[in-house]
Amino acid sequence: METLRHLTIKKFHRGLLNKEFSAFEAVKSFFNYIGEKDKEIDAYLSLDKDGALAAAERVDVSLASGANVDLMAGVPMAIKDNILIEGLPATAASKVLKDYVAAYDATVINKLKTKQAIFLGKTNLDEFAMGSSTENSAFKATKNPHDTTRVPGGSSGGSAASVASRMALAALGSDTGGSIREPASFCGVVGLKPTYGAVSRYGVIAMASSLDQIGSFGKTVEDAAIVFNTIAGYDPYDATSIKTEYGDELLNPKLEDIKKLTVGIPDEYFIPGLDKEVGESVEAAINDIKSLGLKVKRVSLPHTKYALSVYYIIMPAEVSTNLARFDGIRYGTREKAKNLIDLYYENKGVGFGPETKRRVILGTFVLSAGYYDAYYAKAQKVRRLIKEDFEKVFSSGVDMILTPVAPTPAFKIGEKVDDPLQMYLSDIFTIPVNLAGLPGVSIPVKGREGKLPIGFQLIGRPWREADILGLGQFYERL
Amino acid sequence: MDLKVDYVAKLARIKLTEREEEKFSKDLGKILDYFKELQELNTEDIKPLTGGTELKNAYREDGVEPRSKDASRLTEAFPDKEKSFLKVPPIF
Repeated sequence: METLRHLTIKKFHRGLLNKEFSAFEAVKSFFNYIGEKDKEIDAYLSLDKDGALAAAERVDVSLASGANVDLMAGVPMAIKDNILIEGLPATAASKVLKDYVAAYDATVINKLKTKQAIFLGKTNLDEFAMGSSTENSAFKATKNPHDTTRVPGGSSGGSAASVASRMALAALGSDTGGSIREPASFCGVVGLKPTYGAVSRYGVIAMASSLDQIGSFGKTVEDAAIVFNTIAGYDPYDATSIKTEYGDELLNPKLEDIKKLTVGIPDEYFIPGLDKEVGESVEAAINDIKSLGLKVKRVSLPHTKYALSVYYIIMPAEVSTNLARFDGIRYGTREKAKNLIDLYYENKGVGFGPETKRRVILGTFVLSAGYYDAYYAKAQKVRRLIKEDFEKVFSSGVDMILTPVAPTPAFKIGEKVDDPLQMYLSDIFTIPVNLAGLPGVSIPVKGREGKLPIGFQLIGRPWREADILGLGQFYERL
Repeated sequence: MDLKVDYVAKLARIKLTEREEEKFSKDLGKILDYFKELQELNTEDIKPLTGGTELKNAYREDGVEPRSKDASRLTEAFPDKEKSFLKVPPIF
């Protein structure tokens, strides 16, 4: 039972089928471990012990009746607290939602429930998913399981840390500019940000709608792929959802297909500010990939350096409109106020943390009369140039792009909290992927046991998660 | 610098303390300086990319569908109510 927490999804499934353990026992052992371990890590904001154990019992009933259960059945998962599960808290780590209980299930939750996955609890994040360290949570700072004096990354730091510390078998996060991939890199787990439109955003607390995408965390690439396969698909409740089919290659890649692919290495991502160990680790991963038989060539994405500026105009603009709803009228905390206009001022003034306020102010400014063209409209144009850079590379015989995930390994808690620009730079290698709507996965570089984890990023063509996850699976088996 | 934090905070309907105003003014000044690099690019003939996809008119039937097992959860979430009606503070 002790080793149960270390199982992959497929091995867990086999264990269930072979009656090595019941789903109930498995879930119970996770809660026992969380009770002990999470005092140190602070990954979870809330737990749903009763609900999870009841759901596990239903899985055991299905198994006992001889029914065919899905690979995800009984799998104990952690869910980022900006994704709605009916009847459970959804705080987005904001004071303004501290007592909010979700009224319905997000589409991804609905899909996972249909497959009988189990939700252990809701995980910590930077308030409204805004940050790169999970230090912007209104409730607590999550610690990196590899070194508790360091951040787990963010904003999905709780989800990444829960999988890394074996307090969940897999997890869901959301990624607007790197919020799945950066914490995956810092915590030494796999994190996938799918193609924009592949996974429904219905029921995720919106941050920047043209960039947000829900994705998966797993201990292995295969686990991340299995969860992604479960949550992907068209949803009429998300107007940006796209009809697409993922075939068998997603879960069963063939080396002879993957070998034929070409990997591009963009010059612009190997900048002077890149940590030496990160550079060397990514280099080692490139060599391993060459040894699998793939072609590797240098490519150029010339507008990369503008991505951070573009992102920090477009994202806050969307944030400032999306967060206008937290006015204390229909849900959330309502501060005392003598009239309606005062309520608006009070509610956001008291309810939002500093980073949230900073982005709402910045976003309101770039959309305001007189500045819209100089900032917002300009950024939208450069966003197209960034997307076209990728399109040009992908039409030149390159199938995927390999880059670092973040310029450094996990940094110390408190190191960057006072300097927002320094914090924003943590995401320079992940942001372009969101601006272009592409799939990206962060995979731990092998052979770093006992050291701080470092991830490398594979960026695929739109809808080609199978390429990056396929290569990732063969890399892992090396 | 063009950004007057107190004025923008008013547009955003958000109350800031004096310390926040000062800190944001400094932070955002640095950030806006950083954005100046965009001016190097000539984007005259570039069409803006306005969203995550270039889909147009994603319509669906407008009808009532149950999405919550328990619709009363919506009214339970009201910060203030009378029976099942939402109560708001006076406008003036």
